[in-house]
Amino acid sequence: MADLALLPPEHFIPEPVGGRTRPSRYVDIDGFTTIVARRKLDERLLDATCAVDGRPSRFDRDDLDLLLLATAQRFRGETALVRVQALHALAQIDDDRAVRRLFDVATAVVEHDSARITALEALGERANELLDTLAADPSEAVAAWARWVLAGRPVDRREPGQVPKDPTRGTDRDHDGCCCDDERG
Amino acid sequence: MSNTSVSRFRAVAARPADEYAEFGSEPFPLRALVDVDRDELVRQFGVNPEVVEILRSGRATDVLREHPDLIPDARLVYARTSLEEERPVHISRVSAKGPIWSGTPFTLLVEFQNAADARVVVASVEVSWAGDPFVVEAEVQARGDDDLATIEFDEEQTLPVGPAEFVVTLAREDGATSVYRWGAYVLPANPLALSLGPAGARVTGSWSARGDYLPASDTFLTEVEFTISNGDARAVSMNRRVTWEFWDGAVGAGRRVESGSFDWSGISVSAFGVWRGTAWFSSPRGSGIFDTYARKEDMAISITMSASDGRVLNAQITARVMLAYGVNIIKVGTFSSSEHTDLYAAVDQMRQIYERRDITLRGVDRRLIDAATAGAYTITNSEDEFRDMLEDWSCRNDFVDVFVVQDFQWSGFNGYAGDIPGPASKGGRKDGVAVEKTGYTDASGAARLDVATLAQLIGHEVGHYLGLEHLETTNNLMRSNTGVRGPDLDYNQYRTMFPHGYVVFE
Ligand SMILES: [Zn+2]
Repeated sequence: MADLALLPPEHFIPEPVGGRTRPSRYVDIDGFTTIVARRKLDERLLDATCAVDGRPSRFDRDDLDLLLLATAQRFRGETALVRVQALHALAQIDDDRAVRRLFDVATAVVEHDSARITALEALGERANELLDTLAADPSEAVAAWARWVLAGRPVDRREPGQVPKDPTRGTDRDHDGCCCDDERG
Repeated sequence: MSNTSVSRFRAVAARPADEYAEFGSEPFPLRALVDVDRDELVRQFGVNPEVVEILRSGRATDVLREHPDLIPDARLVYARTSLEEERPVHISRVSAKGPIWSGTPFTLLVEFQNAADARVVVASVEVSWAGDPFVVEAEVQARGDDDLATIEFDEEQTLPVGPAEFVVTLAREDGATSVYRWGAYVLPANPLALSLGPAGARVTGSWSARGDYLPASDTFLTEVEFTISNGDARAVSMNRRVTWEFWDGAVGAGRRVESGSFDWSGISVSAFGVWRGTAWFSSPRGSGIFDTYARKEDMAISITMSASDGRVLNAQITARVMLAYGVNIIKVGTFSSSEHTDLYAAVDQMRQIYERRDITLRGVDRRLIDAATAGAYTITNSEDEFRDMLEDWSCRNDFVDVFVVQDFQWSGFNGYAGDIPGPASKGGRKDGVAVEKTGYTDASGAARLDVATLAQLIGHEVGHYLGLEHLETTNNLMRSNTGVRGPDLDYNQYRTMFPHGYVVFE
């Protein structure tokens, strides 16, 4: 515990050459109502998603077209979070197209495991028909999920215990200057 | 009287100035599965040619279940091709028209593919650099399937020497988007510059070097990263003599605490390139630097070097003792090896976010609850379940427990903290935080995690644990919307975290 009496003053932040700010420049997109709506959708998908004081947005049929576009964006990490949130949002919409997209993602063995599990959870009971097949899925994570659901989603409470060390051999990149660096105590 | 010495120095790999972001997007073109050149995929990546036909057949999942050995190849092809109904817009590459020079207008080039009839109409770039982030947008004049957007940065939007990151978003009139992260090192126009940073600095912004107390040797160690950038078309070689000074107060105005020099030979900076190196200053008890750190006083480090043609370079940085806390990173369930690597890269990036506010990590403990043992806890379904997990599992040390779960299936949430602030002891239902991993498949077909998102997500929940509430100021780490967070923590937030029982200052 650090004693507040030792609190250092605000640190000196050197001013970048030309000052700390640069003017932004925007294009007027008011004429493109769908682009405006998509920006709004992404904002809603990511708003209040921390469970501390969080109240995530609700989604309905009006959002469906854009949600389908967002869930089709599987090609870059930069949109991974929006995509995951959009898969969750599809669960709230009672529409064949939403369900079909969730089924497609959930069953595709070429998809990322966590996208599949997100889609499966979003399907809820509608995924029950898939469970027997998925219990033997080539993906270890998906198969484990399916077996756990088939077993009735058991929650095995246990005596409080210590989390084991991770034996994974580091394949990490250079951890120069990191706390893992052997130079530090 | 003991003196400070340079105990070690070495060059570190520097990325090229025109691909400087360590976690930038991977450039690759996206083709339609129906007309992708199968032979080229085979030639380029050695994939089994059958997988292209299997993916085209519409029965891919059934066939691949029978032939799981083909799945890695199928993932690669799937990651590089789009399906008929997806019709994506895809940025294949971002670059600048030539090197970006300090104080000089420049142009970004955005190459993209558009598989729909709807037009791409606007390109939007969010710029992170040493100052406040800003946005530059440009209209896109689209022509065909393979296209190019250009974005001009004019006199008012020029940048100083140093790293800059550009997040480019293309928006199509039907609402489809594509996002690409690209980084560059802005080269000196004058044309040679030295800058100093803290150890392992890879995020944009400027902050202090860190004095670390090492109990085993009773010394303070100061690691400083040197970056020399060359905006000239010729390589530059440097003289070996490096002169250093530590000042109490401003350089030249306060008191010179200690000074010295050492020889660093073989430094050459390539044309339009960047050279990086790291030096460790070791200050034993009794040295002026040790005593100043021990009094918790800031110092200014001044480094002077010269090029073989006589040009003299000088740079300065503040050095101070940082606050420190530790984290137990707890993987809950299955993580692939590339996901494991991305997770720890995210933790390293989170450390840098906190170091911008003079708080570092004093340890990262790596933990794992495997899928079979974790059971229900691999997916967080409710507040009760989150708290059950905290109650059932903890790490017996004075670090913050960070559980990284496969998925939050709980009202659209993606992270939570046990309390604000969390307890400075283990046991009970409040002693940790949880985040979900945000996965995607990269262009090689590997399962990956989005490092930048995860770094902020973990940093945000740990911020709650250390006492921070949500704060909706621009670019703040504690914003409640995951999409608009930045790396900023203000001085009041620093003051709030300061007295937490897991935070040490020594
Ligand atoms: Zn929060």
